[in-house]
Amino acid sequence: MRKRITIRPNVGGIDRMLRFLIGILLFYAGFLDDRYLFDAFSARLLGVMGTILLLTAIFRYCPAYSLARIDTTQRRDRGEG
Amino acid sequence: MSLRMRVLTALLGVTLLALLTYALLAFWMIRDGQQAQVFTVLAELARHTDGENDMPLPDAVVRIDRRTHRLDLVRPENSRIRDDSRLRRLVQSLPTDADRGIVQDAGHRYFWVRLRRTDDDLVLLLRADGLDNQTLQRTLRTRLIVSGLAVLWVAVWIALILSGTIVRRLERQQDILRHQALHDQLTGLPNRALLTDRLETALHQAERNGKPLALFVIDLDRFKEINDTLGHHFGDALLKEVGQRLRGVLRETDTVARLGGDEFAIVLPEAGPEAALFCARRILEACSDPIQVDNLLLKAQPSIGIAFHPEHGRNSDALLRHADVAMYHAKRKGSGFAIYEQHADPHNLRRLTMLNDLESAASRNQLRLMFQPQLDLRDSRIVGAEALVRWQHPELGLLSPADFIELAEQHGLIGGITNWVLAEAVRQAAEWRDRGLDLCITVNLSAHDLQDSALPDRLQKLLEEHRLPPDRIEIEITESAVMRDFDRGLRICHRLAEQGIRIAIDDFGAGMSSLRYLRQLPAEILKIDRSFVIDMAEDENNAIIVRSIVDLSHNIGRRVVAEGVQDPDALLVLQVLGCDLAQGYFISPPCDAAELLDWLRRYEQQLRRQRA
Repeated sequence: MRKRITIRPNVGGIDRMLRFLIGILLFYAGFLDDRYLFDAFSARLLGVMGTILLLTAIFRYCPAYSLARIDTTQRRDRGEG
Repeated sequence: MSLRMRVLTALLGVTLLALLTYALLAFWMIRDGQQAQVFTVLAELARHTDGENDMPLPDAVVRIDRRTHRLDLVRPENSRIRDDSRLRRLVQSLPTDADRGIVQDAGHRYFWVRLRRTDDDLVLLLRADGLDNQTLQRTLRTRLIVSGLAVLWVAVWIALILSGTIVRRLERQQDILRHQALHDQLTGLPNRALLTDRLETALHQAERNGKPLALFVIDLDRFKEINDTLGHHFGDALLKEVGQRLRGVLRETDTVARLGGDEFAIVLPEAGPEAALFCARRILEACSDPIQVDNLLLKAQPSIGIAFHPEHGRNSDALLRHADVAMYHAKRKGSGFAIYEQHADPHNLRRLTMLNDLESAASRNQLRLMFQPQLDLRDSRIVGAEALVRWQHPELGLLSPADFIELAEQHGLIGGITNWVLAEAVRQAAEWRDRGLDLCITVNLSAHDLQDSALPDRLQKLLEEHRLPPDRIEIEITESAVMRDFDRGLRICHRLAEQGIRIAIDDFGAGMSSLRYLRQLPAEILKIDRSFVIDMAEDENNAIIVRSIVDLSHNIGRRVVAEGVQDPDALLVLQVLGCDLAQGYFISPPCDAAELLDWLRRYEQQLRRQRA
């Protein structure tokens, strides 16, 4: 029997949209186009940050949020943020 | 460590960590930038080979004689510097005190190194256009900004996580505190505060959906005894078990709380009378099994008071109060449970208004005296009358003593009423004496009056005022009234007796009937309790009791009055038993002074006719 780990979404609304937007910008500037950041190190660092943002936006789950007990989904029953 | 210190330390730690990380990154990147410079030179050098055996060579080597300042130019074959004079000018422009650097000429950038030897300096030049201070600065700037951002990002998350942990710990502590504040420590049940809160919520809901709500207040009978005789350990164990049993018979939505002591309360949302009574019976059933504590079997007998929303109150205060009243009612009756009844509530509105009016009843001339004649059974003459107070209430009508005497006693108004009754009785007796009627008036005293040591003097003064002989007034007391404070009561009775006032013991046989006290009391008359007289004709036992009391009284030299004579048979039996006096509805109901005179006139006419 496979154990299913269910993760409660904790990213939503404007927070999720901002994460998408910034994530895509950073990912693009970091990995896809070197015109903005000619330095490879900086580009890769920003790219990784962008990727993390994108992933949290896609899965609607941010591990740091769950540790800090922040919830930006529409549900207001637990946490605030 | 205090919480504030912990938060401060955590924040300081995060800040320091972020600063340190950033400083390390900056240091590393600046060093990296310097290395990058070297790498650029090396890369340029590697690219610039001699073409034959791929030997890396600089673009020019210039030997400078230190004494003559003559320049010897050596240029490899594929040197990118073609112009000798330019090269000379370039080398001469280099600062003589530096060993290396970057110099710009005709749009190109040259990396130069000066080797100092004994006689001359050797200057090597390599064109390296990739070497650019501006580029270096830009790279450094970008890296520092980006890594600063990343450090900030991580630091913010660490701070968030830390604050989350602290908040969680705080909340856990708060939860524990809240639980402690809202629950009873012994039983773990909600306490009064939480009950009130839940009750309010349930009441709101009941108001909204129009469903009934029941509130129980439960008290354990004789719990104090268990606590006092066996110790708190047993009491506590009993309370715990009772709490569990109560919890066991209730639904999830019901709230059972301990109000304190041995008092519990239960909120039953959406429970009408039927469901509430069912629940009350289940509670009694659950508590009927004895509870074992150590090696003892204890019995917890609960008394349950029940109040309903909205009939018995719309707010929590009223409901709790009324359920409490019902609980006492249940306790008195010993019935296990009782539903609140307004007329039995000593605090209900009617009683409160009555109390207010009662204070001024005497001064507003609302009190009346009624008289019930007493018949001498030997010669059928009327020898006296018992004075009975009535209250002519402007709204409630004529009230009998049962309606207001207890209230007056509870609120210390009885003294005023007694004074009025005594004054009125003495006045009436004097009036009758003036009309030639020889009647003795009997006045009832309450237990409170028997504590009033000024009473004999007051009565004496009244008698003197009306020049009435003291044997025209008779005082009636009950055994229980004397027993309240026997010594004091006895003293007052003796003083009254010394003044020549007759004392009668009321309701004899219904109370303690202690013969020892009876011997001590200066009572001349015993009044047999009406309960024995009423059933006398049917119940032989009652007749025997009456006869015994009559015999007993006569044997110790007391006279006997029988109350509650309601039929001719009873009168006949009393006559046969040798009872001295009788009073009751059959002879005459209580009536006012004028009616009594009429009645007396008719009675005497009748008596004369019978004798004739």
